[in-house]
Parts: sequence; structure tokens; C-alpha cells
Amino acid sequence: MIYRSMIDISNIMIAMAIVKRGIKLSGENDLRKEMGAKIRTLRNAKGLSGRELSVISGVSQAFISEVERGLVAISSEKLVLIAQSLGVGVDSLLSKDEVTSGLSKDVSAPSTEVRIPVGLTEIAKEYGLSFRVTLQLLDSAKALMAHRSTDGKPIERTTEDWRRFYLKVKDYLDEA
Amino acid sequence: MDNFEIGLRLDGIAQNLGIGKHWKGPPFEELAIAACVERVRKAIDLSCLTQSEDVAQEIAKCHQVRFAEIKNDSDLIELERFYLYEQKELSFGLLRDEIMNPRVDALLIQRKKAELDAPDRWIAVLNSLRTTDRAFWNKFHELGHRVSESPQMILPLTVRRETSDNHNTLERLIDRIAGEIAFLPELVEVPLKELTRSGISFQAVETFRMTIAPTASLLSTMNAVIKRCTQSALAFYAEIRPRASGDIESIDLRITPQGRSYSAVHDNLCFFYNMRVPHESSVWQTFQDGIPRTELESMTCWKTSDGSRLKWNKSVISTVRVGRVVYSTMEIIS
Repeated sequence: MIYRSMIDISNIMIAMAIVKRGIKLSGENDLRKEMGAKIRTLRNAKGLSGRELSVISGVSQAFISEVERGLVAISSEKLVLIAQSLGVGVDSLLSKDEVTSGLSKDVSAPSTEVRIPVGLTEIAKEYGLSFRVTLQLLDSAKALMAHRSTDGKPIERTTEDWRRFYLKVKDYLDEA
Repeated sequence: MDNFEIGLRLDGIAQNLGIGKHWKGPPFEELAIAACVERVRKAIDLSCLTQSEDVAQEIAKCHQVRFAEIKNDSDLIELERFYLYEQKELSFGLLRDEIMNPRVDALLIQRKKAELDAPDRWIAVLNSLRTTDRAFWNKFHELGHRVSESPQMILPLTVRRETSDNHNTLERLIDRIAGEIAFLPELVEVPLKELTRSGISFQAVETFRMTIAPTASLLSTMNAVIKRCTQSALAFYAEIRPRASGDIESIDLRITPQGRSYSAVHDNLCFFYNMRVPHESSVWQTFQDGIPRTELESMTCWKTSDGSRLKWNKSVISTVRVGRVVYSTMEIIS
């Protein structure tokens, strides 16, 4: 089996993309090495140690090291976790192109956030949004960087908040 | 944003300000504040600035921040029209919901499509739909974020981890930074000397406010003055409420402590939250009749809940009532 059961729509979309490309995640030594090298390049560009990437992604440090050296196959689930932690799409790790996305112009800056909140995941499922569009919505929401609530508590977005946001900007998503 | 994310954000502040690789607790607050003040001093020419608003505008210019104050629906519509519909900045699709939320004072939005040198690469949206009182501090709060944090604050995070309440740590830090850059020593030195000479009173606070920060609220100016004055002084406000237990019988005029001068902090002089204002006090009298006062007062009638007296004997108390709240400054004489 190429991939394990998916967590949410984003993983399903990625898995479908992987299957569509006919990519096997095990037994492809060249792909493993290329992908591993890309992961290492991106990790170094972000200024992350192997341990830090392990903490952020939830994937063990030893496994990440083996992936970077092209020694082991990686499940799509873990690939998604690592890609999210590096602020890139899975596509960029799988493609034969050199990695350019995720390398910020501002080299002192942290990477973009790609954790998908539950409310947004539900909207993505409801409207059949692609992973790319979902990330676009998330990225735009994250650009709203600071609230100042009168009671000092953080303000969380509900599913309805995400729905209203999507409906307001959906006409601009392809152009953006 | 969970505590782990905010923890990383605090680390980012430490690194961006050059004070360390990781945030290591309360001592780093002082270092961060000093570093931010120094950054502001290097970035703008303070010699020709006389008011805090001028400082805000100069800091905003240096840090590519445009202020947009929302006072009515037309302001909101115009901002949406320009940034969402014309500039295709999708973040502004969230603007209306956020501004309509009564808990939201201000937002800082980073434009995704702006050129790196765009003067409005960040938009600080100030929510003045319900009140304009907080606009002054909201400006400096958002500038505090810009001065202390790196240009790209968005972080990669997928792990949830329980830590201490970092959100309050971050926001408290930003508030303190805001307080320092709003009232830089170069700006307030002369008015503060005058205040020291004349003594602390609301009249003096108001004079200070009109000189340095006419758009700031009375309460925020009161706190800023008290914290910076050389005398031993406290600030508080009082309103009618019961004790923490909620016992109806205990309803009375009770204190919420505010700022203290360095001298008062050093000598551990303070009021306790919810302490009852004695009816013999000028604070109570101003609450009753609405007449502002500045009077010498004996502190013998002020008692804590266990009957203990306060540590000091005499004060010059200045009081003013705004609505159903009495604001007071207290300069400790002996």
C-alpha cells in the first residue's frame, strides 16, 4: 500500500495527487535521495536543526535523518507533516524541479505557517476546496497578524468565520 | 495561536532584537523594551518631534505601517474596496467580521502582494466604531509588534504543546513596549520636570496630556505620568461593586490599582485590588458630588479588609469623576 489512511481533506488531495503522478513512495531510490536532499536544503534554509524539525513536525529526528539521506521510504502522512513544517507544498518536494518556494526573501524570517485549523478543514470538505486553495485561505488569514482584544484573550475563528471568509474572497482566489 | 506558537514568537522577538536565541522569562522583558526604545531612537529623529502622535507617525513610516482608523461603516467599506477588491489582498476579506467583533480593538495586517518597500506593507486597523479612546494606545501597540518582531512573523507550526500562558506574556510585553515608545524620555523630560515641581494632580496630568499626547485617554496618560514621576505616587480608579465573594451587602466604592512610580514600587507601597474607599476620603466625596479635588489627606481612615492600615500616613490626592468611575492620583507625602 502506498499510503495510509488520511487525516483530513488536505491529505486526501495530496494522496490523490501522488497516485495521479504514479509515484511510489517506496522502492524509488533516486526519488528518495532527491527528496531527501530537498528536505535538507529547505531545513537548512529555514535555519532549523534536525531536532527542531522533529519537534515541529512530530516526526522522529532519526527518521528525518534517514529520509534526508535517502535511506528509507516515507509515508505520505509524514511527508505532509514535514512539508507543512517547512512551509512548502508536498508537490515541491516530489517534483524534479529545484526547490525555490519556501525560501523566503527575508533570510532572517521564520517560514510561513501551514497548520490547517479544524474550522477551515470543515469548510474545505464542504466546498470541495483543493489543498492549494485551502492553503491560500489559511495564508491570507495568517497575514492578519495581531488582534488586540479588549480582554486580552486570543480570538479564535469558528467554522462559520471561515465560511464567511471563503464566500467573500472566493472570486479572487484564482487570480490571487 | 497556542502557547507553543507564542513561545516561538517570543523566541523570534529575542532573536530579532539581538538579546538572545531563546526567550528566557521576565528578565528578557526589560532587555526587549530597552532594545525597542533604542531601535526607535536610531530610526527616527526625535529632536524635532514634540508629541507622541508625531512619534507614532515617524515610527509607522520607518516600519512601512499605514494606520487606518475605522469610525463608521463607510471607513470599513472604503478599506475593503481598496485592499480586497482592487489590490486583491485576501486578508481583508476577514476585516468586517473582525472589526464588528466587540472584543477587537485593532488589527495588524501584512499585505501579501505589497512590494518589499511599499509604505503600506502593513496596515494597522484601529477599531474606533464604539469608542475612540483606545486609538492612541492601539497605534502604539501595533507599532510595538512591528518594532519588536521580524518582518515575517508567520511561523511553521504543527505541534500543540502545553506551556505557561504565553499569550499574556506576549501581549503584556507589547503593551509595555508601546508604553515606552509612546512616551520616550526625550519627549517627556521637560513636562515631567514641570510636573515634579508643581506636584501631581489631574490638572497637571491634563496639562501633560495636552502637551504630549492630546489623543491619549486620561487614564492612560495618568498611568504614564505616575510611572515616570520621581515622587512616590500611585494611581487607581474606583467604582461601585461588591467584594470578590459577590456579597450584595459588601457593595461599596472599591479600588482597582493602576500605575505606580518607581519609588513607590521600590518602597512596596500599593493599594490592594477591591479595597474599600472610606467615606471620609475625598475620593468618596468626588464620587458623590462629581466635583474634582486635589487635597491633602490623612490615610488613617484607609484600612484593608483585615483592619490593617496602609504603610503611609499622608497623601495629596487628586480625584476626578468620569461617568460612574472616579480616577485618582495619590502623591505620598509621609
